[in-house]
Amino acid sequence: MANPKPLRTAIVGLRHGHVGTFRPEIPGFIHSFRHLEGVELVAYCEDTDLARLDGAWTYDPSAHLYTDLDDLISNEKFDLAWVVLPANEVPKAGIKLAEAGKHFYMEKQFARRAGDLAELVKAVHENGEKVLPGYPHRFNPVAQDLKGIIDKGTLGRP
Amino acid sequence: MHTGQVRPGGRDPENFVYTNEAEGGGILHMLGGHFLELSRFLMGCEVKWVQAMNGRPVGYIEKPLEDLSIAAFEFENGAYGSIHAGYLKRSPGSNDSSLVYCGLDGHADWTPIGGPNLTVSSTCPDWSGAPEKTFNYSFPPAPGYGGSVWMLNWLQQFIRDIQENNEPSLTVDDAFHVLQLIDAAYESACKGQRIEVEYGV
Repeated sequence: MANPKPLRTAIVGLRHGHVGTFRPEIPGFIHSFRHLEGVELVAYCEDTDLARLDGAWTYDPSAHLYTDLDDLISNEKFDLAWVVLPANEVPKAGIKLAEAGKHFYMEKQFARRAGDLAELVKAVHENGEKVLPGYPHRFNPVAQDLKGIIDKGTLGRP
Repeated sequence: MHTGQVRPGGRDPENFVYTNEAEGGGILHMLGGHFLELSRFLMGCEVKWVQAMNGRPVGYIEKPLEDLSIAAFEFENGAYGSIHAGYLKRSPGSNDSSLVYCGLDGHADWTPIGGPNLTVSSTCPDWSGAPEKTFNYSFPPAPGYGGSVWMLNWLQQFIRDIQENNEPSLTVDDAFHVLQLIDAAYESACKGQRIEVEYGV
């Protein structure tokens, strides 16, 4: 696809260790977005530890800041959400995003129990968004090559 | 997989990832899921049966979450596996991990998991000239989450999948299945018996 429009992206949740911080600058997803192509970070949303939003405008002066997910969904034009929330908050947020037609990444863990995730799974199937769970290890080049070795039969029956 | 203890001066017991209300599970839930997902990827099928034991040898993590989880698995293809995961290391910030895959004709050792060396040995005829090989990888650094170019590539692929309307190679169903396996492991640890894992919505 030639020059697709950038995906307008909102980060939902700033408390998780993997999201990083603005000040001091501790690396995380916040900083990944500066090095990804085809995305434009348009908003940050944090509804619990509001001090986490401090420094967002110094780091990203054009971003919009939200303290409520419903507000973000109603008032911001975005295509993709980066959900980095505690496990007990992911299902409700994911269902809202799926029903609003937003693709999303979800950092692990995705729920306290599998049963808590079932409605989110159904919502994603019904609405057809793309969702990426935060399990990166199979994408490590070593894992990919090991899978190839296994599938070729080099190690025999497991 | 052993990582730092949840304790004052180590992994902060007040962090939400170590609480029952927010996380709902201990080491197997918070970190073990990574390696359970990796195992199902490498094996190419789901776990059918699980038998687990959990413990709290360090004891600062909120009850009833576990510091230590040991589980044995029977996969759908008849293979067996196990995991030994713990918030056990006293030195903060250090991890010990190892993945060993044993087949009837060879085995592979990725130690530490995520590290740059994979050692493989095989008795298959193609390998008769060099039955043991070590593959060395380099992981160029990159800014942001994960700190490696391959991690950034993983995220970039998801962006591409959305733009090109391709299904990502890891989906919400995979996440659901891993959680169902973890739940079954917890049920096994509670009941003291092996549990058949039920998958699907």
